[in-house]
Amino acid sequence: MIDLIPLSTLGTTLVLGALGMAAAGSVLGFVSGARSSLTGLQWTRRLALGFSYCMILANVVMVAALLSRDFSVSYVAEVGTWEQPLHITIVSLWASLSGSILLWGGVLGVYVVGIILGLGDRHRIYQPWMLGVLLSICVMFALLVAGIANPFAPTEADVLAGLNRAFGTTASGMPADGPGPNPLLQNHWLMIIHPPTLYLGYVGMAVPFAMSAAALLAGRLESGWMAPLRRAFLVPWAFLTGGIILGGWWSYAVLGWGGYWAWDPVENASFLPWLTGTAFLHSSMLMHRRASMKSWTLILGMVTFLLTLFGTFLTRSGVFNSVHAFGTGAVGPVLLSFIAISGLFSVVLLGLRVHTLTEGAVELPRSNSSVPRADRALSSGTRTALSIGLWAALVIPPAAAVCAALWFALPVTFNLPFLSEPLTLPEWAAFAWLPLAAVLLARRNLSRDFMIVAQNATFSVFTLVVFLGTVYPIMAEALRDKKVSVGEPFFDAFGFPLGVIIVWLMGLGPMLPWGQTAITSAWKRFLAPLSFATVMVGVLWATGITKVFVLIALFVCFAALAANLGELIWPSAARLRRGGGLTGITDLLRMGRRRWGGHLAHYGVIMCVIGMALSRGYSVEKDLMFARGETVTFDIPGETEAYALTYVGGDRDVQSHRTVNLAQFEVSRAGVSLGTYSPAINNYKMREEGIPSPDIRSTWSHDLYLSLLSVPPDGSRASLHVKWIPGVLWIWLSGLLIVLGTAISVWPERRRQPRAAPHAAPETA
Amino acid sequence: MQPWQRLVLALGAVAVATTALIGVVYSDWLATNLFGQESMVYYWSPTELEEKRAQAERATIRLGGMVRRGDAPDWDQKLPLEFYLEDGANKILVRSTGAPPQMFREGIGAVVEGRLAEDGAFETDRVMVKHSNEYRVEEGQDVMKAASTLSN
Repeated sequence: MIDLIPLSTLGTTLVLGALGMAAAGSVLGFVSGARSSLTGLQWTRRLALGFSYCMILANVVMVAALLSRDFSVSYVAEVGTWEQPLHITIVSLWASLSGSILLWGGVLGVYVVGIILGLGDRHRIYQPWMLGVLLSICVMFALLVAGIANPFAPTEADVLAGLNRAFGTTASGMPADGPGPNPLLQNHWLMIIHPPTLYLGYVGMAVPFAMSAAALLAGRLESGWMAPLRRAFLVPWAFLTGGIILGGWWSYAVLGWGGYWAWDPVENASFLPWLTGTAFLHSSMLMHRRASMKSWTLILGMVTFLLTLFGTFLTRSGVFNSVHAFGTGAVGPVLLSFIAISGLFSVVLLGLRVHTLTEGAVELPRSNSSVPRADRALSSGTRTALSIGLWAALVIPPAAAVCAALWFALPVTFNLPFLSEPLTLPEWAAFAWLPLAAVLLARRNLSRDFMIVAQNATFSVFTLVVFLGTVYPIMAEALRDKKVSVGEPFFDAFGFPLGVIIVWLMGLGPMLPWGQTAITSAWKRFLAPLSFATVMVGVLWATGITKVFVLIALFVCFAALAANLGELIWPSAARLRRGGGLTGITDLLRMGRRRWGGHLAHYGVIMCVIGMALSRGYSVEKDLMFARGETVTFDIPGETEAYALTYVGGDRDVQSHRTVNLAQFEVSRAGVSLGTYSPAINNYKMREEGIPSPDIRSTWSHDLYLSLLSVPPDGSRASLHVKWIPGVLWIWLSGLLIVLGTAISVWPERRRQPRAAPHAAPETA
Repeated sequence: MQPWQRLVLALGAVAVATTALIGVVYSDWLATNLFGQESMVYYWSPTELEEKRAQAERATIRLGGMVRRGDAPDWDQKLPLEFYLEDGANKILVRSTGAPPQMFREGIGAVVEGRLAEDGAFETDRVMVKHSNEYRVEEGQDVMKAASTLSN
């Protein structure tokens, strides 16, 4: 059967079929959108499904080619080999450039099927437009797969000849073996799930992009369309979050430097759409509830997709030489032109159509006369004093974070003359009006709505900062032939205060009601979280965590944790007090999935930030060199007992696809043995340099990380990178919590009869 | 506002943003003040470092060259490691608190990241060696090329 039609021909045919159907479908989609043709829509849907099935089948054919080691397919000749386990053969699908772009197309196909089945027969005004835009994106990727990055192309004669020379020839004239995939792919199980997770995150953003464009093209955006838009956004957002955290974990577990985030351009590329995407999720709540910020929300949704394209470009074009780059090729310029086309399309569409969405915004009563009832008993002077006091309290933690960054980081990051040494008192005074202005400006905006706007502003600034720092080196090299990179101090100096503000807003938001808050009730709401955070930070300070950065970060985390828990429990507790019995608790269990999901995601973010603060603040690392039998101690400042490491000896394990060089260390602390650690260096064929395989032992409080740097063949000596990292396990777990939260809120709710008005559903900020 | 006026406004905003970005790249003053001396990483060869010693203070530098043995007999077995990086014309003394990777030996191309110390030596805690493979981390590729031509 397989011999009848060469897999190479079969695959190419499927890809070309997908391209044709996507092209026809996109044209038909736009036409039936303009003519409101139902028949047209049905045919567009069929063509879209046809594209998807072709693309998914093409992926299956490629896996079949990989499994049968059909070296006549160029991609198999690039990454195939007999000497590897089955699962590695399957995941070789994303081991190199053209295969990963094919997978990209397959994932796009899965999303297209998903959205078509999800929408069903509803939303007939938007659907043809959405499919038109979505299929245009499919055309771009199908072009890439069918053209310059075609993994099904027949292997070129000289490549085959080379393989035959290197590995010998079988009876059929094909090479006996191939070079095998990138060793980094083979080295750790995380590499099996990290790339597809991230792809699912990147590619899926095409769907909300198409849905936003459909709203603009149709010239309307009703709440009926907002709900599926938000849901279609949450799915890839969850994968993106998971992919980023898995990537950090992989970097930690494989690369041997003991860190998880280096502000590497490719990491930044995945972080940028996450930032705009998270902003979208929050502003879309405001859009849903108040019908305001419609155009801003759509812009965020569209920018997120453009940033995922930009991320694809950075990762796959080879403009950066990093662990992610697959080498240079023609793919870069093509992707760049995709970004340009999509960007131009978005700008023109927004410019021409955004005015059609402006109707229907619900204005809030904002005048001074409408003082909330709870506050009417107070004199206006007391009210002002209370509210200034409140805002002062609320501005202190972010202001402290900004000041700490100014004091410690900025003199390093910037060489502005007046910042090159710590500021004097008058200089501080010159800055003091800023928080005061913030207090006065925001005095009347004490509401969840305002916190969401502030959250969006912070995320936008963060996006801009990361974008600038990421793009500068490319631009500098392209325009001026200057080789530089922007290092961690720049990103840290901005990331710390912005991160603190984000967590702080995440605490304030859920505590405040929509609309307007009475000052007295706001005071009541904030007192508990603020006191809890103060006590917790006091306790931690007493136990020896005294670094200012870490304390500020932990303070806002604990305040946000208490505030979110309070928002969850407060209403039920109030009902219990009023004599409502346990109905409050059953209500809590039955409250909207979206609300539960939002809460879980918030707790995940808090957990992640706590883990990052501790691991960034209190890691200890050292390089050590050993002779056989030698014992070296490893001190942890602030801990009474040092670790003692003894190098026992080396060992060598020759496996089918690699050689594992391991060194054994006996680790003990205070006379108690902690077992034998066996960090290794794996040497793969076709690659000169070994890949470290650190031995990591995690506990709830800290990890001990041993990464082997070198061991000579006779094992007489060894050098080791040792790192002690607190709190890092919490970061990986936080990803699970965030993804779980998103899954809960995406999961379709049973339709209630009669359906509650969308504006009444409670949500978290 | 007419739709076409909105379009002009939107395109104008994009143009301004692009111009601003290019402006930042072209203006050295703005770039160094925005990103700061210490958060910029420069890729230099030993000769470039000799020429720009004054500029190199405080800056983080990636120095690439070929490894020459240090003065001590056990130069590659004790921390801090002391060895030279050279590119034919110049050689720089490197002092590393980081242990070198497996392939480190005399004559191999290496890249170190760090900064100049008071005594003129280059201090680093990270030694990376050059490796010839498609999937390499090609940091400082150009200086590496120079180093590899030298060794041939």
